[in-house]
Amino acid sequence: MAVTRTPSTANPGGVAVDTKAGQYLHFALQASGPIPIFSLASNVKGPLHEAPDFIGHPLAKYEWEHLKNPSDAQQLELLNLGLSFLTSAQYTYTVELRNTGGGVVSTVLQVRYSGAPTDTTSESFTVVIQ
Amino acid sequence: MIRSYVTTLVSALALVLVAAPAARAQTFDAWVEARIQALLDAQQIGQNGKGADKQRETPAADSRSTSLVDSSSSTDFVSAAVNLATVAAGSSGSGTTGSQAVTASLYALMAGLNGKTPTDPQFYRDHMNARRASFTVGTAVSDVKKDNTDKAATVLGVKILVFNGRELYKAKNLAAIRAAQKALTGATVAGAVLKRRIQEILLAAAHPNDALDANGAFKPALFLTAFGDATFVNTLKSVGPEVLKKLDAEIVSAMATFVDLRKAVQTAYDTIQQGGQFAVVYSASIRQGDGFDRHRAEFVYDYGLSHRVTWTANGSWDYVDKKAMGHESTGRAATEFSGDLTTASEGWSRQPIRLSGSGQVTWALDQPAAKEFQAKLSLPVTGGIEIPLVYRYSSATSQSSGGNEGKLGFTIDLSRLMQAAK
Repeated sequence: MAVTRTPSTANPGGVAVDTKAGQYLHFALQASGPIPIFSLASNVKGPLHEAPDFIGHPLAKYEWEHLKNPSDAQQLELLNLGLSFLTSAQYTYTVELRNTGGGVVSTVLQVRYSGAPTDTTSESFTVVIQ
Repeated sequence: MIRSYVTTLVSALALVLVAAPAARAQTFDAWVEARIQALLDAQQIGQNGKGADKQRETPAADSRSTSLVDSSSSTDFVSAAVNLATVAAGSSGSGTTGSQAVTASLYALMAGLNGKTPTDPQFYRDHMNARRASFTVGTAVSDVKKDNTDKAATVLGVKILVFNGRELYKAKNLAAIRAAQKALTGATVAGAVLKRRIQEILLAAAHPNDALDANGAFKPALFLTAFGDATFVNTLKSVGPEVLKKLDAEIVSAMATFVDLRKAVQTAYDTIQQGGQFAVVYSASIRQGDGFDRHRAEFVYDYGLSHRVTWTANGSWDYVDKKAMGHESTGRAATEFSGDLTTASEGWSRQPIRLSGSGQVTWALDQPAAKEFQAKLSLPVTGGIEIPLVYRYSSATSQSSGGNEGKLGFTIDLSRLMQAAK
């Protein structure tokens, strides 16, 4: 494995989300390379997002939200991000906990990755519904 | 003299190795991936490789270049090359100061003018043809015997990539990238399920009496503390080797999707890297006063024979303008086989240690053919910096006695350096 992982906010492994109070997760993935290749999957719901799903793909930045609809809430859901460096040498992955008005409650994690073309890596955490 | 260069090189490498950061504490995801990779490697599935197509050295028209054969693809962005010294076999004196050149693609210039980074995905997609053209400017040291002056020459070059089988937006390459994306999604889904299963096994082992609530479900609070970057190492320490065997068994049962991912990524890499490229090149060394001007027009073709070996062929016509002394022209054919000795995971750098063998034959009117053979070992120092060590043999001609010589170079890929520094 030749992936270099540089966290500026370390992955806590689990994040508490008060969905009843309107809290949700905001994801951002910045890519540095011609064609980003990534997927986000849940251990409960399977694939949630992948790069080609986004309008305008390939993009320098991908953003999406999770748990904004309370019916999506699933206790102890593990969210796993997969990255391939085949055609994008660097990524920065940021997850924020936001409140009902969109304000940032906290940065859950922020990690930068760089890798060689045949490298892949993944990053996961568990959602604990309060 | 060669020994002193080697001593300096070894010292520099030692400094780089000593300065490398200490191994970081292992995170949960890194630990799972390391177990998956170890079990995959045990099955000897797939290999890694690196491209051999990016020319980062001064063009071969400059006889002091450490590159005997030009490759068809210049760096996508900007690179600089400096040939430090030429050391004749048996020489005890200092080497001749060498050449410097900077190569930039039209794409890099357009990105700069538009205020975009060259890695911007949309800019990259929308300016495919701009990556076909690259330009080189620099200087080359002159030899009074060969060039009729000791003043440095101005080096100019332009390279047009007529056919680029490695363009990501070619249909076959896009299909390979889509296959890699599909395999990644499959492995990410399987990874999510596997990681949860691993976490449950670890929690049950680390908290044998209090991992579950009254309903038999894992207590949510445990997931907030057991698998963070800072805490996972303690969770892992708290379980015994029998648990680790159980985890390996879980990983093996989910292995198929990770095998698929490794194969898909390697296939996509090989598909792109082994695509043929055909380029036409013009380069010149222009000298002031009575110094000889040298021009070269050539074609370059290269093709990936395997994921580690690239074959390159050149054919060129050289014209020397001797000004008051007339002119002469020669034909040249050259070929090179270049192979990577290490992969990204094997050496001290992500860039491979690369060995190449090349030869060229030059024809001039009423003169015997001149033959040269070169062996080159490129040693990566760190991302974007390489030191090529070169042995070159040349046959005797009417202008030189031929013989053996060693060369030491120094190449810098600014785009890779900038990426490493980010």
